[in-house]
Amino acid sequence: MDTFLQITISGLTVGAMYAVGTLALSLLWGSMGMLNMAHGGFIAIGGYTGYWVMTVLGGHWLFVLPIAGLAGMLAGYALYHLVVRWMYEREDFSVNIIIVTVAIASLVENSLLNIAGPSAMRQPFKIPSGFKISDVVVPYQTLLTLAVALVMMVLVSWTVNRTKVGYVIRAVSQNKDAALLMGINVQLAFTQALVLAGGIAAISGVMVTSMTQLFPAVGYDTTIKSFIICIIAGLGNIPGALTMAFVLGMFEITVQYVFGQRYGFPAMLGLVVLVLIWRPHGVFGKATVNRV
Amino acid sequence: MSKSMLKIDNLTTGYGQRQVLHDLSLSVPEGSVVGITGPNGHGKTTLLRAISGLVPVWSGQIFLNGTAIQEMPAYTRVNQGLVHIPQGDLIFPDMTIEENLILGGYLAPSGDELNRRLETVYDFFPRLFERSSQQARTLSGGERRMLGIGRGLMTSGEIMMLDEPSLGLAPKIIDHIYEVIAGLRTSSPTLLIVEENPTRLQSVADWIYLMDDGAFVWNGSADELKESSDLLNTYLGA
Repeated sequence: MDTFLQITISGLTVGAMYAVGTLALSLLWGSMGMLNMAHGGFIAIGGYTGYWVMTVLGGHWLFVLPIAGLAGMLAGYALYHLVVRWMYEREDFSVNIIIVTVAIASLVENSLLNIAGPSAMRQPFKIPSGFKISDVVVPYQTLLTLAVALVMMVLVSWTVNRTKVGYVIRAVSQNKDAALLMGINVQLAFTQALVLAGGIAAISGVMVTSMTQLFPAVGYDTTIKSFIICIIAGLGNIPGALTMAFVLGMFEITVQYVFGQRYGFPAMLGLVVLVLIWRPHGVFGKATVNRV
Repeated sequence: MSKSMLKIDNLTTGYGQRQVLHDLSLSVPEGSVVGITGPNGHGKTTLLRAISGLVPVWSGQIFLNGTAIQEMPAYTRVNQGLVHIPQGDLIFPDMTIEENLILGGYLAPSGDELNRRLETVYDFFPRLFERSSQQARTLSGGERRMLGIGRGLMTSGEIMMLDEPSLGLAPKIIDHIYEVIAGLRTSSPTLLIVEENPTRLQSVADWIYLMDDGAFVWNGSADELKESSDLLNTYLGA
Protein backbone atom coordinates (compact mmCIF):
# COMPACT_ATOMS: atom_id res chain seq x y z
CA MET A 1 0.00 0.00 0.00
CA ASP A 2 2.78 2.40 0.96
CA THR A 3 4.66 1.52 -2.19
CA PHE A 4 1.59 2.17 -4.26
CA LEU A 5 1.07 5.52 -2.56
CA GLN A 6 4.72 6.46 -3.04
CA ILE A 7 4.59 5.62 -6.74
CA THR A 8 1.32 7.49 -7.19
CA ILE A 9 2.60 10.65 -5.57
CA SER A 10 5.90 10.66 -7.47
CA GLY A 11 4.15 9.72 -10.69
CA LEU A 12 1.62 12.51 -10.33
CA THR A 13 4.34 15.07 -9.65
CA VAL A 14 6.47 13.99 -12.58
CA GLY A 15 3.33 13.77 -14.74
CA ALA A 16 2.32 17.28 -13.74
CA MET A 17 5.68 18.63 -14.87
CA TYR A 18 5.47 16.80 -18.18
CA ALA A 19 1.92 18.05 -18.57
CA VAL A 20 3.01 21.65 -18.27
CA GLY A 21 5.81 21.06 -20.77
CA THR A 22 3.46 19.41 -23.25
CA LEU A 23 1.02 22.27 -22.83
CA ALA A 24 3.60 24.80 -24.00
CA LEU A 25 4.75 22.60 -26.88
CA SER A 26 1.22 21.75 -28.03
CA LEU A 27 0.24 25.38 -28.00
CA LEU A 28 3.00 26.28 -30.45
CA TRP A 29 2.66 23.23 -32.64
CA GLY A 30 -1.10 23.61 -32.70
CA SER A 31 -1.20 27.29 -33.54
CA MET A 32 1.73 27.69 -35.91
CA GLY A 33 3.17 24.25 -36.70
CA MET A 34 6.29 25.11 -34.74
CA LEU A 35 8.21 22.40 -32.91
CA ASN A 36 9.99 24.48 -30.31
CA MET A 37 13.29 22.83 -29.40
CA ALA A 38 14.18 25.97 -27.43
CA HIS A 39 11.58 24.96 -24.85
CA GLY A 40 14.43 23.68 -22.62
CA GLY A 41 16.02 27.12 -22.89
CA PHE A 42 12.83 28.69 -21.54
CA ILE A 43 12.87 26.17 -18.68
CA ALA A 44 16.47 27.08 -17.82
CA ILE A 45 15.73 30.80 -18.06
CA GLY A 46 12.88 30.33 -15.60
CA GLY A 47 14.99 28.28 -13.21
CA TYR A 48 17.88 30.75 -13.15
CA THR A 49 15.59 33.76 -12.93
CA GLY A 50 14.00 32.20 -9.85
CA TYR A 51 17.41 31.56 -8.38
CA TRP A 52 18.62 35.13 -8.99
CA VAL A 53 15.46 36.69 -7.66
CA MET A 54 15.98 34.96 -4.31
CA THR A 55 19.78 34.99 -3.98
CA VAL A 56 21.21 37.98 -5.86
CA LEU A 57 18.22 40.30 -5.47
CA GLY A 58 17.24 38.87 -2.09
CA GLY A 59 13.63 38.85 -3.17
CA HIS A 60 10.77 37.19 -1.33
CA TRP A 61 9.78 33.75 -2.57
CA LEU A 62 6.38 35.12 -3.50
CA PHE A 63 8.00 37.06 -6.35
CA VAL A 64 9.76 34.06 -7.82
CA LEU A 65 7.02 32.55 -9.99
CA PRO A 66 5.65 35.85 -11.37
CA ILE A 67 9.11 37.19 -12.24
CA ALA A 68 10.26 33.90 -13.75
CA GLY A 69 7.02 33.84 -15.75
CA LEU A 70 7.65 37.37 -16.99
CA ALA A 71 11.22 36.47 -17.99
CA GLY A 72 9.89 33.53 -19.99
CA MET A 73 7.25 35.68 -21.66
CA LEU A 74 9.93 38.17 -22.61
CA ALA A 75 12.03 35.33 -24.01
CA GLY A 76 9.02 34.13 -26.03
CA TYR A 77 8.44 37.63 -27.34
CA ALA A 78 12.10 37.94 -28.32
CA LEU A 79 12.09 34.53 -30.00
CA TYR A 80 9.14 35.60 -32.13
CA HIS A 81 10.47 38.96 -33.19
CA LEU A 82 14.13 38.04 -33.60
CA VAL A 83 13.62 34.73 -35.37
CA VAL A 84 10.18 33.28 -36.05
CA ARG A 85 8.59 36.20 -37.86
CA TRP A 86 11.40 36.25 -40.41
CA MET A 87 11.01 32.55 -41.13
CA TYR A 88 7.30 31.95 -40.89
CA GLU A 89 6.26 32.91 -44.40
CA ARG A 90 9.15 31.01 -46.00
CA GLU A 91 8.86 27.47 -47.24
CA ASP A 92 9.97 24.58 -45.05
CA PHE A 93 9.29 26.58 -41.91
CA SER A 94 8.26 23.55 -39.90
CA VAL A 95 11.58 21.80 -40.54
CA ASN A 96 13.85 24.83 -40.42
CA ILE A 97 12.43 26.06 -37.14
CA ILE A 98 13.47 22.80 -35.45
CA ILE A 99 17.10 23.36 -36.39
CA VAL A 100 17.00 27.03 -35.52
CA THR A 101 15.46 26.45 -32.10
CA VAL A 102 18.04 23.72 -31.37
CA ALA A 103 20.65 26.40 -32.00
CA ILE A 104 18.83 28.82 -29.72
CA ALA A 105 18.60 26.24 -26.96
CA SER A 106 22.33 25.73 -27.26
CA LEU A 107 22.91 29.48 -27.19
CA VAL A 108 20.86 29.87 -24.02
CA GLU A 109 22.62 26.94 -22.37
CA ASN A 110 26.08 28.25 -23.15
CA SER A 111 25.22 31.79 -22.13
CA LEU A 112 24.03 30.48 -18.77
CA LEU A 113 27.21 28.41 -18.53
CA ASN A 114 29.19 31.61 -18.99
CA ILE A 115 27.17 33.67 -16.55
CA ALA A 116 26.44 31.16 -13.83
CA GLY A 117 29.11 28.47 -14.26
CA PRO A 118 28.81 24.75 -14.81
CA SER A 119 28.18 23.54 -11.28
CA ALA A 120 24.72 22.37 -10.31
CA MET A 121 23.07 24.57 -7.72
CA ARG A 122 20.20 24.17 -5.35
CA GLN A 123 17.04 26.02 -6.31
CA PRO A 124 16.25 28.17 -3.26
CA PHE A 125 12.56 28.25 -4.14
CA LYS A 126 11.71 25.22 -2.07
CA ILE A 127 9.46 24.52 0.88
CA PRO A 128 11.20 22.29 3.41
CA SER A 129 9.61 19.32 5.19
CA GLY A 130 6.32 17.62 4.50
CA PHE A 131 3.65 15.49 6.07
CA LYS A 132 2.95 11.80 6.40
CA ILE A 133 0.21 9.62 4.95
CA SER A 134 0.57 6.29 6.78
CA ASP A 135 4.35 5.77 6.41
CA VAL A 136 4.90 7.78 3.27
CA VAL A 137 6.36 11.27 3.54
CA VAL A 138 4.73 13.72 1.17
CA PRO A 139 6.93 16.79 0.77
CA TYR A 140 5.07 20.11 0.71
CA GLN A 141 7.12 20.91 -2.38
CA THR A 142 5.37 18.07 -4.20
CA LEU A 143 1.99 19.50 -3.35
CA LEU A 144 3.10 22.94 -4.48
CA THR A 145 4.38 21.53 -7.76
CA LEU A 146 1.09 19.77 -8.37
CA ALA A 147 -0.85 22.89 -7.45
CA VAL A 148 1.22 25.15 -9.72
CA ALA A 149 0.88 22.70 -12.60
CA LEU A 150 -2.87 22.47 -12.13
CA VAL A 151 -3.28 26.23 -11.92
CA MET A 152 -1.27 26.66 -15.12
CA MET A 153 -3.30 24.00 -16.92
CA VAL A 154 -6.56 25.63 -15.90
CA LEU A 155 -5.27 29.08 -16.81
CA VAL A 156 -4.07 28.01 -20.23
CA SER A 157 -7.22 26.10 -21.12
CA TRP A 158 -9.27 29.04 -19.91
CA THR A 159 -7.18 31.40 -22.03
CA VAL A 160 -7.41 29.19 -25.10
CA ASN A 161 -11.11 28.37 -24.79
CA ARG A 162 -12.67 31.39 -23.12
CA THR A 163 -10.76 34.56 -23.95
CA LYS A 164 -10.56 36.58 -27.14
CA VAL A 165 -6.83 35.93 -27.36
CA GLY A 166 -7.42 32.19 -27.21
CA TYR A 167 -10.31 32.40 -29.64
CA VAL A 168 -8.03 34.10 -32.12
CA ILE A 169 -5.19 31.61 -31.56
CA ARG A 170 -7.61 28.76 -32.23
CA ALA A 171 -8.95 30.45 -35.36
CA VAL A 172 -5.46 31.03 -36.74
CA SER A 173 -4.49 27.45 -36.00
CA GLN A 174 -7.52 26.08 -37.86
CA ASN A 175 -7.28 28.28 -40.92
CA LYS A 176 -4.73 31.04 -41.26
CA ASP A 177 -6.09 32.50 -44.51
CA ALA A 178 -9.65 32.59 -43.21
CA ALA A 179 -8.44 34.34 -40.06
CA LEU A 180 -6.70 36.99 -42.18
CA LEU A 181 -9.92 37.54 -44.12
CA MET A 182 -11.77 38.19 -40.84
CA GLY A 183 -9.34 41.02 -40.13
CA ILE A 184 -7.30 39.06 -37.58
CA ASN A 185 -3.67 40.04 -37.17
CA VAL A 186 -2.10 36.61 -37.50
CA GLN A 187 1.37 37.81 -36.53
CA LEU A 188 -0.02 39.17 -33.28
CA ALA A 189 -1.72 35.85 -32.56
CA PHE A 190 1.60 34.04 -33.05
CA THR A 191 3.35 36.50 -30.73
CA GLN A 192 0.72 35.87 -28.10
CA ALA A 193 1.08 32.10 -28.42
CA LEU A 194 4.87 32.33 -28.00
CA VAL A 195 4.60 34.71 -25.06
CA LEU A 196 2.15 32.35 -23.38
CA ALA A 197 4.33 29.30 -24.09
CA GLY A 198 7.45 31.09 -22.83
CA GLY A 199 5.74 32.07 -19.59
CA ILE A 200 4.45 28.56 -18.92
CA ALA A 201 7.83 26.99 -19.67
CA ALA A 202 9.72 29.39 -17.42
CA ILE A 203 7.37 28.84 -14.48
CA SER A 204 7.67 25.09 -14.97
CA GLY A 205 11.45 25.69 -14.98
CA VAL A 206 11.32 26.93 -11.40
CA MET A 207 9.31 23.88 -10.35
CA VAL A 208 11.51 21.39 -12.24
CA THR A 209 14.72 22.81 -10.80
CA SER A 210 13.32 22.84 -7.29
CA MET A 211 12.66 19.10 -7.59
CA THR A 212 16.05 18.35 -9.11
CA GLN A 213 18.89 20.85 -9.42
CA LEU A 214 19.75 23.96 -11.32
CA PHE A 215 22.27 23.67 -14.17
CA PRO A 216 22.43 25.14 -17.69
CA ALA A 217 21.22 22.01 -19.50
CA VAL A 218 18.40 21.36 -17.05
CA GLY A 219 15.66 21.81 -19.65
CA TYR A 220 16.64 19.02 -22.05
CA ASP A 221 15.23 16.09 -20.14
CA THR A 222 11.78 17.66 -19.70
CA THR A 223 11.76 18.91 -23.29
CA ILE A 224 12.50 15.50 -24.78
CA LYS A 225 9.94 13.78 -22.59
CA SER A 226 7.30 16.42 -23.24
CA PHE A 227 7.88 15.95 -26.95
CA ILE A 228 7.46 12.22 -26.64
CA ILE A 229 4.19 12.78 -24.80
CA CYS A 230 2.92 15.22 -27.42
CA ILE A 231 3.65 12.74 -30.20
CA ILE A 232 2.23 9.74 -28.39
CA ALA A 233 -0.96 11.68 -27.60
CA GLY A 234 -1.29 13.11 -31.10
CA LEU A 235 0.44 16.40 -31.81
CA GLY A 236 -1.56 19.49 -31.03
CA ASN A 237 -4.23 17.74 -28.98
CA ILE A 238 -4.06 19.50 -25.61
CA PRO A 239 -6.50 17.40 -23.53
CA GLY A 240 -4.93 14.24 -24.96
CA ALA A 241 -1.43 15.46 -24.14
CA LEU A 242 -2.37 16.25 -20.55
CA THR A 243 -3.88 12.79 -20.07
CA MET A 244 -0.84 11.14 -21.62
CA ALA A 245 1.51 13.21 -19.45
CA PHE A 246 0.06 11.74 -16.28
CA VAL A 247 -0.18 8.22 -17.71
CA LEU A 248 3.45 8.26 -18.86
CA GLY A 249 4.62 9.94 -15.66
CA MET A 250 3.11 7.09 -13.68
CA PHE A 251 4.48 4.55 -16.15
CA GLU A 252 8.02 5.92 -15.90
CA ILE A 253 8.00 6.05 -12.10
CA THR A 254 6.56 2.53 -11.86
CA VAL A 255 9.23 1.12 -14.18
CA GLN A 256 11.90 2.97 -12.24
CA TYR A 257 10.63 1.58 -8.98
CA VAL A 258 10.21 -2.02 -10.14
CA PHE A 259 13.17 -2.43 -12.53
CA GLY A 260 15.51 0.37 -11.47
CA GLN A 261 16.11 4.02 -12.21
CA ARG A 262 17.95 3.47 -15.48
CA TYR A 263 15.09 1.62 -17.18
CA GLY A 264 12.52 4.39 -16.92
CA PHE A 265 13.41 6.33 -20.05
CA PRO A 266 14.12 3.36 -22.36
CA ALA A 267 10.84 1.78 -21.31
CA MET A 268 9.04 5.04 -22.12
CA LEU A 269 10.65 5.14 -25.57
CA GLY A 270 9.77 1.48 -26.15
CA LEU A 271 6.16 2.26 -25.36
CA VAL A 272 6.22 5.16 -27.83
CA VAL A 273 7.46 2.86 -30.60
CA LEU A 274 4.66 0.40 -29.91
CA VAL A 275 2.01 3.11 -29.77
CA LEU A 276 3.15 4.66 -33.03
CA ILE A 277 3.07 1.30 -34.80
CA TRP A 278 -0.43 0.79 -33.45
CA ARG A 279 -1.67 4.34 -34.10
CA PRO A 280 0.59 6.47 -36.32
CA HIS A 281 -1.28 9.68 -35.44
CA GLY A 282 -0.99 9.07 -31.70
CA VAL A 283 -3.51 7.73 -29.24
CA PHE A 284 -5.85 10.72 -29.48
CA GLY A 285 -4.65 12.01 -32.85
CA LYS A 286 -6.80 12.33 -35.92
CA ALA A 287 -5.66 11.76 -39.47
CA THR A 288 -6.38 15.40 -40.12
CA VAL A 289 -4.24 17.37 -37.71
CA ASN A 290 -6.35 18.74 -34.91
CA ARG A 291 -4.50 21.82 -33.79
CA VAL A 292 -4.91 23.45 -30.37
CA MET B 1 -21.43 56.92 -63.43
CA SER B 2 -20.96 56.77 -59.65
CA LYS B 3 -17.51 56.57 -58.15
CA SER B 4 -15.48 53.38 -58.03
CA MET B 5 -15.68 51.36 -54.84
CA LEU B 6 -12.92 49.14 -56.16
CA LYS B 7 -10.56 50.03 -58.95
CA ILE B 8 -7.71 47.96 -60.30
CA ASP B 9 -5.04 49.35 -62.59
CA ASN B 10 -2.66 47.17 -64.60
CA LEU B 11 -2.41 44.38 -62.05
CA THR B 12 0.03 41.52 -62.54
CA THR B 13 0.74 38.72 -60.12
CA GLY B 14 1.39 34.99 -59.87
CA TYR B 15 2.80 32.22 -57.72
CA GLY B 16 6.56 31.81 -57.41
CA GLN B 17 7.99 32.38 -60.88
CA ARG B 18 4.74 31.67 -62.70
CA GLN B 19 2.76 34.70 -63.80
CA VAL B 20 -0.99 34.18 -63.60
CA LEU B 21 -2.55 37.61 -64.13
CA HIS B 22 -1.50 39.88 -66.98
CA ASP B 23 -2.07 43.61 -66.77
CA LEU B 24 -5.64 43.52 -65.46
CA SER B 25 -7.76 46.62 -65.05
CA LEU B 26 -11.25 46.62 -63.59
CA SER B 27 -13.67 48.97 -61.92
CA VAL B 28 -16.53 48.20 -59.56
CA PRO B 29 -18.81 51.25 -59.14
CA GLU B 30 -20.34 51.85 -55.73
CA GLY B 31 -23.65 50.00 -55.29
CA SER B 32 -23.22 47.84 -58.37
CA VAL B 33 -22.80 44.12 -58.89
CA VAL B 34 -19.90 43.19 -61.11
CA GLY B 35 -19.25 39.64 -62.22
CA ILE B 36 -16.18 37.89 -63.53
CA THR B 37 -16.62 34.73 -65.54
CA GLY B 38 -14.44 32.55 -67.68
CA PRO B 39 -13.03 29.04 -67.81
CA ASN B 40 -11.61 27.36 -64.72
CA GLY B 41 -7.97 27.74 -63.82
CA HIS B 42 -7.49 31.04 -65.61
CA GLY B 43 -6.84 33.33 -62.67
CA LYS B 44 -10.26 34.43 -61.38
CA THR B 45 -9.59 33.18 -57.86
CA THR B 46 -6.05 34.53 -57.95
CA LEU B 47 -7.43 37.98 -58.75
CA LEU B 48 -9.66 37.95 -55.66
CA ARG B 49 -6.78 36.64 -53.53
CA ALA B 50 -4.58 39.46 -54.79
CA ILE B 51 -7.26 42.03 -54.00
CA SER B 52 -7.68 40.74 -50.44
CA GLY B 53 -3.94 40.39 -49.91
CA LEU B 54 -3.55 36.62 -49.70
CA VAL B 55 -1.36 36.78 -52.81
CA PRO B 56 1.22 39.58 -53.12
CA VAL B 57 0.87 41.93 -56.08
CA TRP B 58 3.80 42.04 -58.52
CA SER B 59 2.90 45.34 -60.12
CA GLY B 60 -0.10 47.61 -60.62
CA GLN B 61 -2.43 49.23 -58.14
CA ILE B 62 -5.59 48.38 -56.23
CA PHE B 63 -7.77 51.23 -54.97
CA LEU B 64 -10.46 50.67 -52.39
CA ASN B 65 -12.63 53.75 -52.00
CA GLY B 66 -9.78 55.78 -53.45
CA THR B 67 -7.10 54.39 -51.10
CA ALA B 68 -4.26 52.36 -52.60
CA ILE B 69 -4.30 49.07 -50.68
CA GLN B 70 -1.93 46.82 -52.59
CA GLU B 71 0.86 47.26 -50.00
CA MET B 72 -1.36 46.75 -46.95
CA PRO B 73 -1.30 43.46 -45.03
CA ALA B 74 -4.42 41.38 -45.68
CA TYR B 75 -5.96 41.85 -42.24
CA THR B 76 -5.91 45.65 -42.44
CA ARG B 77 -7.72 45.62 -45.78
CA VAL B 78 -10.72 44.11 -43.98
CA ASN B 79 -10.84 47.16 -41.76
CA GLN B 80 -10.97 49.27 -44.91
CA GLY B 81 -14.26 47.61 -45.82
CA LEU B 82 -13.16 44.73 -48.01
CA VAL B 83 -14.87 41.37 -47.48
CA HIS B 84 -13.65 38.29 -49.31
CA ILE B 85 -15.73 35.11 -49.22
CA PRO B 86 -13.19 32.63 -50.50
CA GLN B 87 -13.58 29.58 -52.67
CA GLY B 88 -13.54 26.29 -50.78
CA ASP B 89 -15.25 28.07 -47.90
CA LEU B 90 -12.20 28.16 -45.57
CA ILE B 91 -14.27 27.64 -42.46
CA PHE B 92 -12.90 26.99 -38.97
CA PRO B 93 -13.70 23.26 -38.80
CA ASP B 94 -13.29 22.70 -35.06
CA MET B 95 -15.50 25.57 -34.01
CA THR B 96 -19.25 25.78 -33.89
CA ILE B 97 -21.24 27.61 -36.53
CA GLU B 98 -21.90 30.45 -34.14
CA GLU B 99 -18.20 30.71 -33.23
CA ASN B 100 -17.38 30.87 -36.94
CA LEU B 101 -19.91 33.65 -37.41
CA ILE B 102 -18.68 35.59 -34.38
CA LEU B 103 -15.16 35.45 -35.78
CA GLY B 104 -16.57 36.93 -38.97
CA GLY B 105 -17.64 39.88 -36.84
CA TYR B 106 -14.20 40.12 -35.24
CA LEU B 107 -13.93 43.81 -36.11
CA ALA B 108 -17.50 44.69 -35.05
CA PRO B 109 -17.39 47.87 -32.96
CA SER B 110 -19.64 46.57 -30.17
CA GLY B 111 -21.38 43.51 -28.80
CA ASP B 112 -24.77 44.97 -29.72
CA GLU B 113 -23.67 45.46 -33.30
CA LEU B 114 -22.35 41.89 -33.36
CA ASN B 115 -25.70 40.52 -32.19
CA ARG B 116 -27.56 42.63 -34.71
CA ARG B 117 -25.44 41.22 -37.54
CA LEU B 118 -25.87 37.70 -36.17
CA GLU B 119 -29.64 38.12 -36.33
CA THR B 120 -29.43 39.34 -39.92
CA VAL B 121 -27.38 36.32 -40.93
CA TYR B 122 -29.76 33.92 -39.19
CA ASP B 123 -32.64 35.62 -41.04
CA PHE B 124 -30.93 34.95 -44.36
CA PHE B 125 -29.99 31.38 -43.40
CA PRO B 126 -32.42 29.85 -40.90
CA ARG B 127 -30.52 26.57 -41.35
CA LEU B 128 -27.46 28.12 -39.72
CA PHE B 129 -29.56 29.16 -36.75
CA GLU B 130 -30.90 25.61 -36.34
CA ARG B 131 -27.35 24.26 -36.30
CA SER B 132 -25.66 27.14 -34.50
CA SER B 133 -24.01 24.96 -31.85
CA GLN B 134 -22.88 22.26 -34.27
CA GLN B 135 -19.18 21.84 -35.18
CA ALA B 136 -18.54 23.36 -38.60
CA ARG B 137 -16.71 20.24 -39.80
CA THR B 138 -19.98 18.30 -39.70
CA LEU B 139 -21.77 20.54 -42.21
CA SER B 140 -22.76 19.56 -45.73
CA GLY B 141 -21.33 21.37 -48.76
CA GLY B 142 -24.36 23.65 -49.08
CA GLU B 143 -24.36 24.49 -45.38
CA ARG B 144 -20.66 25.30 -45.53
CA ARG B 145 -21.31 27.71 -48.37
CA MET B 146 -24.08 29.35 -46.34
CA LEU B 147 -21.68 29.60 -43.41
CA GLY B 148 -19.02 31.14 -45.65
CA ILE B 149 -21.42 33.76 -46.97
CA GLY B 150 -22.94 34.32 -43.53
CA ARG B 151 -19.50 34.87 -42.06
CA GLY B 152 -18.78 37.38 -44.81
CA LEU B 153 -21.99 39.21 -43.95
CA MET B 154 -20.86 39.31 -40.31
CA THR B 155 -17.79 41.26 -41.41
CA SER B 156 -20.11 43.81 -42.93
CA GLY B 157 -17.85 45.64 -45.35
CA GLU B 158 -18.50 48.11 -48.11
CA ILE B 159 -17.69 45.64 -50.85
CA MET B 160 -18.10 41.88 -50.81
CA MET B 161 -16.20 39.58 -53.10
CA LEU B 162 -17.73 36.15 -53.61
CA ASP B 163 -15.66 33.39 -55.16
CA GLU B 164 -17.69 30.74 -57.02
CA PRO B 165 -20.78 30.80 -54.79
CA SER B 166 -22.43 27.99 -56.75
CA LEU B 167 -19.45 25.67 -57.17
CA GLY B 168 -20.22 22.03 -56.45
CA LEU B 169 -23.73 22.59 -55.11
CA ALA B 170 -27.08 21.06 -56.04
CA PRO B 171 -29.29 23.31 -58.21
CA LYS B 172 -31.83 23.80 -55.44
CA ILE B 173 -29.16 25.07 -53.05
CA ILE B 174 -27.68 27.28 -55.77
CA ASP B 175 -31.15 28.83 -56.19
CA HIS B 176 -31.23 29.60 -52.48
CA ILE B 177 -27.72 31.07 -52.50
CA TYR B 178 -28.59 33.29 -55.46
CA GLU B 179 -31.81 34.42 -53.80
CA VAL B 180 -29.68 35.57 -50.90
CA ILE B 181 -27.25 37.32 -53.25
CA ALA B 182 -30.15 39.06 -55.00
CA GLY B 183 -31.47 40.00 -51.55
CA LEU B 184 -28.13 41.57 -50.67
CA ARG B 185 -28.54 43.98 -53.57
CA THR B 186 -31.47 45.63 -51.90
CA SER B 187 -29.82 45.93 -48.48
CA SER B 188 -26.48 47.37 -49.43
CA PRO B 189 -23.12 46.47 -50.48
CA THR B 190 -21.24 46.54 -53.68
CA LEU B 191 -20.56 43.04 -54.93
CA LEU B 192 -17.83 41.46 -57.01
CA ILE B 193 -18.76 37.91 -57.95
CA VAL B 194 -16.58 35.30 -59.59
CA GLU B 195 -18.76 32.67 -61.18
CA GLU B 196 -18.09 30.07 -63.83
CA ASN B 197 -21.78 29.78 -64.69
CA PRO B 198 -22.65 32.79 -66.93
CA THR B 199 -26.41 32.28 -66.67
CA ARG B 200 -26.36 32.58 -62.90
CA LEU B 201 -24.14 35.60 -63.16
CA GLN B 202 -26.43 37.32 -65.68
CA SER B 203 -29.30 37.03 -63.23
CA VAL B 204 -27.61 39.30 -60.67
CA ALA B 205 -24.75 41.23 -62.29
CA ASP B 206 -24.90 44.71 -63.85
CA TRP B 207 -21.58 44.38 -65.59
CA ILE B 208 -19.59 41.32 -66.54
CA TYR B 209 -15.91 40.75 -67.27
CA LEU B 210 -14.80 37.72 -69.23
CA MET B 211 -11.41 36.38 -68.19
CA ASP B 212 -9.27 34.06 -70.23
CA ASP B 213 -5.70 33.05 -69.49
CA GLY B 214 -5.19 35.71 -66.83
CA ALA B 215 -6.47 38.63 -68.90
CA PHE B 216 -9.84 40.26 -69.49
CA VAL B 217 -10.88 39.55 -73.07
CA TRP B 218 -14.26 41.25 -72.98
CA ASN B 219 -16.49 43.28 -70.71
CA GLY B 220 -20.01 44.57 -71.04
CA SER B 221 -23.47 44.51 -69.54
CA ALA B 222 -25.24 41.27 -68.67
CA ASP B 223 -27.63 41.77 -71.61
CA GLU B 224 -24.76 42.26 -74.04
CA LEU B 225 -23.21 39.00 -72.89
CA LYS B 226 -26.51 37.21 -73.49
CA GLU B 227 -26.55 38.48 -77.06
CA SER B 228 -22.96 37.49 -77.76
CA SER B 229 -23.49 33.76 -77.98
CA ASP B 230 -20.32 33.31 -80.03
CA LEU B 231 -18.33 34.85 -77.17
CA LEU B 232 -19.70 32.32 -74.75
CA ASN B 233 -19.05 29.56 -77.24
CA THR B 234 -15.46 30.55 -77.69
CA TYR B 235 -14.54 30.95 -74.04
CA LEU B 236 -16.93 28.81 -72.10
CA GLY B 237 -18.14 26.27 -74.62
CA ALA B 238 -21.67 27.15 -73.62
